[in-house]
Amino acid sequence: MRVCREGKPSRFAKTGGMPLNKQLMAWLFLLPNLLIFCIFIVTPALSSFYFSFTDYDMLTFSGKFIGVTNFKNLLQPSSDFVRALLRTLIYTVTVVPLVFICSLGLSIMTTSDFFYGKPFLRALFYWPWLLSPSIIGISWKWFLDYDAGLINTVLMKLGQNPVPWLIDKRLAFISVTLVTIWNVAGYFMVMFNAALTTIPNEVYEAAALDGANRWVRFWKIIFPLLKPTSVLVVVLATIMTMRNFEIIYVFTAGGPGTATTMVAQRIYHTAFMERRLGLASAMSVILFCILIVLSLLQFKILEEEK
Amino acid sequence: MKRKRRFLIVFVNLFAYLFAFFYVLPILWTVFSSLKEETDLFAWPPRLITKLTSVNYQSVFLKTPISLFIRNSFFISISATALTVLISLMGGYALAKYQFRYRRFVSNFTLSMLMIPLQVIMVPVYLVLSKIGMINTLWGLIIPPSATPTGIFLAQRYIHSAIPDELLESARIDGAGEWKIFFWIVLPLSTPLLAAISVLSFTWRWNDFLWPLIVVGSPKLYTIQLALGMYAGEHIVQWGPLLAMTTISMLPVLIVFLLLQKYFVKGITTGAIK
Repeated sequence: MRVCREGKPSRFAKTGGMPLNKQLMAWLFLLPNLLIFCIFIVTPALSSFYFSFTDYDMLTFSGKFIGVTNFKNLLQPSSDFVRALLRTLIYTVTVVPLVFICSLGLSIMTTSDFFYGKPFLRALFYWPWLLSPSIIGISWKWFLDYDAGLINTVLMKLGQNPVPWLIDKRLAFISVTLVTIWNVAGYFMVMFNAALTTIPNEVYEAAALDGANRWVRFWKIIFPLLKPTSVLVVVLATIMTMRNFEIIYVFTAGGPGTATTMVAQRIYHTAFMERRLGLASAMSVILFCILIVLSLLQFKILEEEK
Repeated sequence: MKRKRRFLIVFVNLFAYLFAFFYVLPILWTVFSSLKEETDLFAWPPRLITKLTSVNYQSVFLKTPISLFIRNSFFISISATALTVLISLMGGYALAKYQFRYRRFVSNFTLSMLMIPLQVIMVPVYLVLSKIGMINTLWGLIIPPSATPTGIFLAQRYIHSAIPDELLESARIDGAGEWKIFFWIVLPLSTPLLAAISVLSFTWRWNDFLWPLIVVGSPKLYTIQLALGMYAGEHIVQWGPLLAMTTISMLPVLIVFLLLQKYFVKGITTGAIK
């Protein structure tokens, strides 16, 4: 039982520990946040479940209950949505391992004693994470521009043919993948750095005494110690990639054709261009179910780390 | 042996800096191109080295309402940040220092908000906003995104360990009210936390694209990021002025980052994305 500051057993133990008026204060302090969460996150989330069973549209702002018809239509093997979903999965499966390798590589680079000016390098690699989707989209669109982008300019100077980076479907998809990795690698580098610096010096020293070379030492001793962070990085990177929307929206707008149209983009397009809210909600629900599994995994890992 | 090692270190460093240069090259190219004349941008045969000019910056200020966009961005970022800091500290304080019923539930509820990304609920969010008349308003841009689980979580952790219970209790014995304790003891003792949340929030709000995209319809309320996205999506892109605008739009966050770098790391190591 909780003990009051006077030393007597608390009379309020049953109600949670503090006098009721103090408990009320706690709720008051929490009120603004809870209100915003309920109005702008919980309500929309719940109503998207409701809308997903209707054919609500944003022209007449009306609709009726149609059961699981939306889901049936969406999950037809050749529907645009299934194609976007598959594309998103391929995109995610490509991006995540590469992000993992790149961010671990950057992290080793910016913590190893081989390099001078590590804080500078760290800041430089982190910088892309601080840029807005618009800046990233525009800069890369310009960098890879067919006529005037830097890469093609250099290629043409060397007498080569320019590469249709954002015109060819496959190349556009690869470009989007690269830009995504470039955008988030620095962020995960910082996470790995934090983990690497918490490994006690004795571990490194003991490893050095073992006599094995650096490469073996890293994979045999350091890498296993990074496991919690590694798992978290994979889960977070997967969530980020699955729901990515803004950068692609500015960078390629989903094109050419639908070569880089991901699920989030389809949702946006269906809702705000085609104005079919019910259908878009059904898409959201499917994406949400995938993401929620991943998020639960994320929290499980965070809990275990504590 | 020693000489060989030194040679290796020089070589490895050279490689690292070359790699770092290529890593940020797309951004440097944007900045560099923004200083070229339109005729040089698309010159044939392409030219790498050209004379520099500020003509794009002049035309961006003359031909687009960029000063309005910048004003909007600053106003929204700063007021949303102030609001975020205040309510995150309030929420974090309640969770850290009050024993109340359902405390664990509220704490988990707050964290679970991270599981529902805006990309998934943007459609019904739009409906809610239009129901309560927040579409196309400054309030719609400022208030809803100002509650963040990350902010509350950071505040809870910091206040829990940095402010001793005894201090609050003795203030209560002296007869201070709860609001007074919050504003005169908790707030002043949380300056490092305040700085950390401010830096994160300012960056998020300044860079935000999706929220303005949903809320804003008329160019009068465009933030600079939204304006960039809109200009970039036009059929004929005016690259010179667009690149100038892009360069301008990255300055505030860059300055904040250079001055207050350490606070960015704090937000990341909590393992939460926004």
